[in-house]
This record gives sequence, structure tokens and C-alpha cells, in this order.
Amino acid sequence: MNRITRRQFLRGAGSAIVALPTLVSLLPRAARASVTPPKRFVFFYHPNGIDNAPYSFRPKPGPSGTEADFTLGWNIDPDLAPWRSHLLWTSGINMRVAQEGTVGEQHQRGIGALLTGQKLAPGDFVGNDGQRAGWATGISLDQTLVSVIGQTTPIGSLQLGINARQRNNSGVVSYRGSEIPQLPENDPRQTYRSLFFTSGARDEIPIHVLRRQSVLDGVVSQLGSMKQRVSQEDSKRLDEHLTIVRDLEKRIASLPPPPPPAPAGTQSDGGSSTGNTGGTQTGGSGTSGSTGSTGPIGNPSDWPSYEGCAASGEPALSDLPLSSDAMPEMAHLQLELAALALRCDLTRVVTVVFVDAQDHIPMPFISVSDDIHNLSHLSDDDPYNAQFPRRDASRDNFRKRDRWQAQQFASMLAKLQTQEGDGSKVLDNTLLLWGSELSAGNTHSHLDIPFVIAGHALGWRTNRFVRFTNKNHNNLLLSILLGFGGSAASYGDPAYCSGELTGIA
Amino acid sequence: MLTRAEYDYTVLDLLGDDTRPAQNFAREPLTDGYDNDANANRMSSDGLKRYMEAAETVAARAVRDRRDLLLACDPNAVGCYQQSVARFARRAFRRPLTVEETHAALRVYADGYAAGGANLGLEWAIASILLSPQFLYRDERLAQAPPELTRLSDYQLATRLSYFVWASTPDDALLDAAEAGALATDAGVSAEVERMLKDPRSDRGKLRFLGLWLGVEELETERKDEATYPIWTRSLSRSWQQSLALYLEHVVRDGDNVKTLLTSQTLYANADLSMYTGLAPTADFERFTPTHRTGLLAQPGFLAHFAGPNQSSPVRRGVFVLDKLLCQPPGAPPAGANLIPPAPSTAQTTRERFAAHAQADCAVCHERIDAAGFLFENFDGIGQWRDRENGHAIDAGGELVRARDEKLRGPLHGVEELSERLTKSGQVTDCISREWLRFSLGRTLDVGDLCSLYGVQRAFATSGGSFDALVRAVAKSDAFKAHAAPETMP
Repeated sequence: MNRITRRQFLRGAGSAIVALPTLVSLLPRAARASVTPPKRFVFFYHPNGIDNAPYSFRPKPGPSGTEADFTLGWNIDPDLAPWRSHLLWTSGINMRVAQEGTVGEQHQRGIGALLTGQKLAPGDFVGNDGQRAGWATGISLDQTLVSVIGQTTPIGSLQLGINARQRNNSGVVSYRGSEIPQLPENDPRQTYRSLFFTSGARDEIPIHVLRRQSVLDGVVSQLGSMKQRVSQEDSKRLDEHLTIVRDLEKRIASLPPPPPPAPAGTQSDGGSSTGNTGGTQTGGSGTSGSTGSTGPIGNPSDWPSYEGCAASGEPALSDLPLSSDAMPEMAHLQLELAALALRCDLTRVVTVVFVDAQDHIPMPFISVSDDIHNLSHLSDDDPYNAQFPRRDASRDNFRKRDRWQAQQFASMLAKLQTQEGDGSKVLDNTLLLWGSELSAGNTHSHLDIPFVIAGHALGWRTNRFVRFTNKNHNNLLLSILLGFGGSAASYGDPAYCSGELTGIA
Repeated sequence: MLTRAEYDYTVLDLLGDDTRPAQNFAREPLTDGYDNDANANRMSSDGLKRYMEAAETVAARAVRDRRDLLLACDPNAVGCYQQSVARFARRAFRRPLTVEETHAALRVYADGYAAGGANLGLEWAIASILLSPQFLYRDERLAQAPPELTRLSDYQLATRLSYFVWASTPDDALLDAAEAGALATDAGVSAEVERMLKDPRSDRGKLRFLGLWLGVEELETERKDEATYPIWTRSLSRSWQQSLALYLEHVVRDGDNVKTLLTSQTLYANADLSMYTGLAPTADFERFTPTHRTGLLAQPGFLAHFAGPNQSSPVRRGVFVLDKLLCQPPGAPPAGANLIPPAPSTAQTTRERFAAHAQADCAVCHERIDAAGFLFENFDGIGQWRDRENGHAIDAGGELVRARDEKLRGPLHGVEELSERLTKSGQVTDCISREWLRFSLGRTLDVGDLCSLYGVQRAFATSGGSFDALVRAVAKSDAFKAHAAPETMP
């Protein structure tokens, strides 16, 4: 048996040890070897727009005026130049649906609209300036795409966060439906669990599948009896719940099995909560030490090993709180797991939220100790300039943030360079969309959002800079949906969608 | 939907499982700082998997380690397991089951029995019950279409009471009281509330409110600028959080009122926090009574949380006082306002650096915010006491400008005087009443709740700020005993 070895990554300051499950020697999953590789969609979000100094982030058009004639933004050029042939830059795409929203402040409206193309419902989440708003009022593109390309995978989609800690609408891009948010998961250990669903009970495979089917059948029956005599509002909520249960039921047979118990005699003190005392007295099910512990996870040598895409142990985080200090490690782990999931066809739809839209964090790992949101207010010719003796340094710091985000995007592209069954690369079969809820922090404008596209899933020509004039981003969302084979006449709020975005392909 | 804290307490009380499985669940959205808003909390597909994992492991552990607690009868007797499943389901669903619900639970039991015997049947049935919406959601359905404000059923009221007072599931006695119709009268409700308040579990409900009100959970990820505060480590942030949590436990245990909250001369310190006591470090947390540490507003965790990464923050501290203690929040900053605090200086005091707030646009709010916030200036950005800043003596003078309660107005100096004065004001007890009632209902208050709010405020003020009195008054209020308007149904 060809067991995977584990690597440990020593990163960050001092003692932080981050170990990933090893993701090499990828055997094709059952049905994958012979068929055409699947199409995937990835969305990248970072908050508060970009530095708006000329051509710092945005490309500079060349003299010929053609789409292929441009130079990359000077601030991010070092990181993205190697990927130029895979990138498609845009300008002139507006989020007018957010700009014209009346509920909520600009950050809330922007992040809510990004993938939904919709306005916000009234609600009680307090925004940065005290205005209140609720969730977005429509399904988001990633979730629409789950119904188009994500029906056969074990997991419908992943919503990942990197320090997206705001527990309200400011941290959410993904919606299963109107006002049904999917909050991002910030903890890579939980992402791992979502991928491999390493449930504690370590049964023989048939038993665990049987159990889950039976348990879920029971839940469906309970839902049925609960739905009698319910108000309309509650009925809607129970329907939501039922949809999720049904979805899990449908996918459960294709979910990887939980890991088998470690061979007797190899266990040492794992440091986890509950020891596995070999508990088979209840008919084959013991307990795991994993559920219920979010502390550092045991000794890597205790983890079970697997072949191919089936996984090894959980990522171990040694004393890393999920705060801004640990963002590089968190991003590394989250993106690695996302890439694994895409490669191994565990899922075809991923969203990644780098920090919530309020973004009141420092980024000490790139030597920025100021609050990034506040820095974003300086991102171009600031009207309050006179008050800021540190203006230049502050702008430099904001650019460091942009550059770090560009590095994260590049690192995701690199992770998608793995070869597929037919000899193509994963990146060839993936479309990545990267955007922010504003174009620039100090104007708080939703016009001219810096959307960047990468990958070749839709066959859109890359290595271009396409300058649009006053196009609504709903059109872009529609184009992506149609490109993936979906059918719709419009996306999001129809008042802001006039059809496909001509010229993007 | 049960919050993480409620879920953990519930499986602890139902099954004796103390592993806190909800640590793996997603964090709840916060509405006004509270995690139990029914409109904000939604099930997700990822969430369901976590609940499933928890249900599986909790059920397996219960049958393996505590099977005798689950079995209501002689295990060898015919029907004992089925009877035990039904008994557990009543406790987990917090009401009697319908025939269909019982059948559904027993069908899962039968599947498990067929796969591996009675114990496995019991385990599967428990897992299925723990994953059912009747368990995960607080069932406050109406029996009929809602006319207007309608009283909760007795079982629903029992559930609301127990999650409010205990942060957990009703015990058998409370369910029995509901079954016997005892909760249909105010006297019956009062009797149960008195019983529940005497139970140590009542600390949980109070601490849950106080913790969310102060944002204690967020303290763990508080970070400071190492250049300014070389002493700061992540471990210090965790110690701040634990120290503040211990302080709140002490308040609930040893005084249980607003006066203790605001004026107890107490600090819980471990080795990380010895700089605040000036005494020899102790490995574990111990109680100290150092000078300058009077009440909540002088706790290092509080002061560090309401501060900048590299400086104190008269704005954040002032806004806390105005918003969370007086319920008289300042307005939002105007669009385009410069929100960046002035850089720390080696020459000026904080007060001097914030002088720009005297400009006309800013002054309208900042004369109130800063005047409250400067009272804290004896504490730096990590809550250390200081008499001087950059060679200048600290001026911790200020006032609560335009406070609604006249007793709060007039010059003040320092946190101790501030705290002392706050304890004398009905505006403060009224404000805490409003926050606590809002938390107890899991929704924002609306005009229909005003009579309930006044009742709670009156009772809380009359009692001299006793938390028990507040809990009693909330439980007695019409808003607490009634269904929410349809659009805010939990």
C-alpha cells in the first residue's frame, strides 16, 4: 500500500507549526480517469477596494489601444506577471445595484450584491457608519452554479474565510436563496472536516452509511410531522432545512468514509479530548477524539493515512488563534484544502472571503500595524489630506495589502496547476473571479469594481484588458452562468441586468 | 436554532456530555451583539454536517459511557429500549411527542437494532433525535393562525424560560409543570422561576447575557502592536478574556447586581497579569484587590478591548459608556469623516491629540464621546495604570454631557468616580433592562414591547439593580410569554 507521507510546514513567526494533510500522489477518483475533467468556479473576495493611484493595481493600456496591449499594475506586477497569460482584466463594470441600494451602508451593500446582483433586505446588522441592514435578497452565483455543475460531487460547495470574522452580512458573499446566507468557515480544521466528514464514529463502512441513511430518514420524517400546523414563515424555514437534509442524503453515499481506527498499539497520547478506548461494545461504534476538540490536534503520527484523494489527518494548528496574525498560515491551509477539493472533484464551487467588509484589522505579517479599513480611506487623493502627516506611509501600507492579496491569488493559480486525467491542468477547467465590494475605500464607490478573471473553463480569451463602459456587473454574473451551461435570461435584480456582457469572451 | 452555548449546555444536561461538541459549529451571526437572533441564524449544508457529527459522537458516547442513565427500566425487559427512546425524545423535544414523531424515532431504533442490536438501536435513535429540527430549533409554533399577540403554549414557555434562565433545556420538573398546566398562571410561572433561580444553572443565563453584552468572546483575538506594547502576547489576550470572565462570574456569584458589576474592587490575575497587581505572579488565576481596579470599567480585559492597537481610545471607551450603559448612543460619523485616530505621539497627551474633535462637525457628538472617554485616560491601551503620559500629568477629568438623567451630569474625575455615579442612576438600570430584555427575546424590541420594557425597568430599578429581580421581571412580562410577531418568529 502506497501510503502518503506527511510534510510539515514551518511558517510564520517562531513557534507556529502548521501541518497539512499531505495531498500528493493523487489517484483519480472512481469515475474520473476516463472522462472529460469537470468545470469549476472559484470566487475570491478582498475588502475595501484597491489602491486607486494610477496603474498601481489596474493595468495601464498600451499605445495601440488593443485589448492585448497593456502593462500590469506596477504594485502587483511582480506577483502576477508570471500568470499574465491566464488573466483577464476588466474596467468599467459597475455594481449599480449596490450603488443604488437604500438599505445598509456601502460595504454591506457591496458585499451583499457581489455574487447575488441583489439589494439587501432590511435588518439589524449594524454597518460601519451605524446604518442597519439584513441579508441579501437573492441566491448567489456560486450557489446557482452548484445546481448546474455541482450535483454529483460529495460536497456542493465550500465557503471559506480567512479572518472573515464579522458575524453578520459584512462577511458573506454566498447565499443559498434570498436571505439564506452561507457564512464562511474560517477554521481550516473545520474545512478539512467538511471535505472528509471524518465523523467520530469509526464504523465499518457499510454500517456508517446505513446509520447515516437511517438517521437522516428519521430526520426527514420528523420534519414532515413538524411541518403540520406551521405558520408560513416557519414553513419556509423548515423547507430550507429539508432541502439541506435531502441534499446531504443524496450525497452521503458518495462521501468518503470516515477513517478506520488506527491499528492497535500505535496510539499514543494524542492530546485530544476523549480517548478512543477501542469502544466497539456498542455494536461497532466507538468515539473519536476529534469532535469536540478545537485545540491543537494530536501527534501527526497518530493520524490515519489514506491513498490518493481520500485524505490523511487533519491540519494541525499549533496555538494559532484565528486572528489577523495567523492570516498567512490560514490562507495557506484554506487555499491548499480548496485546491485539493477541486483537484479531487470533492466539490466544483468554492468561495474565499479574505476578511469581512468592515476589515478593521492590522496585518502585522506585512508590517502594517494600522487598521486596514482606515488606511483604505486614504487610497487616493484624500480630501482630508491636511490632517495626515503620515499619508504617504499609509498609502504604502495599503498597497502592501493589495500586493499581499495579489500573492494569494497567484498562489491559488499555482495550486491549480495539477494535471488532470486528460493531460490538461485544473486551471484550464476552472474559472476564477476576483473582486471587492468597493472600487476604492475613500470614495466608497460601487462603480468600476476591479474584477479580475482567471482560468480557462469557459474558453474566454485571456491575456487581455477589456475596458467596458458603464456595464452592470449583473451582466457579468449572467455571462458566467451561461458559460457554465446554465440557462437564464437575467441574473440578480432584473432591473440591473440587460443581458450577457458582450466582449468578455 | 440553539446557539453553540445552548447546544453544549443542552447535551450536558440531557446526556451528561461535557465535551462541548458545539465548538465545531459555525459562529452565530451577531445582531446588536447577541447571538440568538432567530432571523439571523440559519441552517447551512456545512452546518448540518457538523450537527450530524456531533449527534453521532454524542450518541455513541452516551450509550457507551452512560447507558444506565438513558435506560428507564430493566434492559432485559421487553420494550425497555423503546420506552427509553421515547423518554429521551420527550426531554430532547421539550414536549410530548406526536404519534408520528414517536414512530419516526422508533423506526430509527429498529434500523439500528437490525444492524447491530439494542444498544446500536438506542444510539442511532438518539443521534436522529439530536439532528431533528424539533431539537435544533426552539419550537415556538402557533397552534393556529396568529390573530395578534398570543401566549406561548405551556411547553413553549417552559422552553423559553429554561433557555433564558439556564441557557439550557428544561429539566423533567419543568416539563412536568408544563404538562400539569402549572405554567398557565403567573403564580405558577413565578414558582418555577424561583426554583430555577435557586439552581446553580441560573448563573449560566446571566453570564451568557453579560458576556455577549461586553463582547468577551472577541477578546481572545484582540491584538496589540508589539512595538508599542512589547509585553503583549497572544497569551495575554487569552488571560484578559479569562480574567474578565472570572470577574463576571464573581459579580453574579457574590453580589448579583449592578453595584457589584460596576464597583467591586476585584481583579482575577494569573502570571500574565501580574503587572496589574504589582504582586508576585501566581500560576493560576487568583483574586486580588489592587488599587485602581474598581469595577468592570477598570478591568484590564475591558480596557484593552476598548482601546487601539497602539494607544488608549477615548472614543471607543466613551461610546461604550454612552451606548451600552446609558442607551444614549452618539450618532454615526458623517460620511467621509476621518476615522483614523491620530498617531501616538511622544510629546502630546491623548487629550491634546484628539483636539481636532473640537471642530464644528465633530464636536456635536465628540463633546459627549470624548468627555466620557477621557475619564479612562489613567489607563493605557492595555489597561495599565499611568499617572503621566509623555511627561505630562494625566488629566482624567470629564463628564457625561447631556445625560438624560440629571443625576449623571456634572464634572467627574476618573473611572472610580464615573462608576460610582453610574450606580446611582436609573438611566443605567433602564439601559441594562432594555439590553437584557432584547437578549431574552432573541429579537429586536418594537413598540409592542414598550409596556413589558417599562415593567422590567421599574422592577430592576426598584430592586436596586438586582439581576435576580430583572430575571423575574422579564419572565413575568407579556413580551416574554407571547409569540413574536409572525415575521420575527424564532
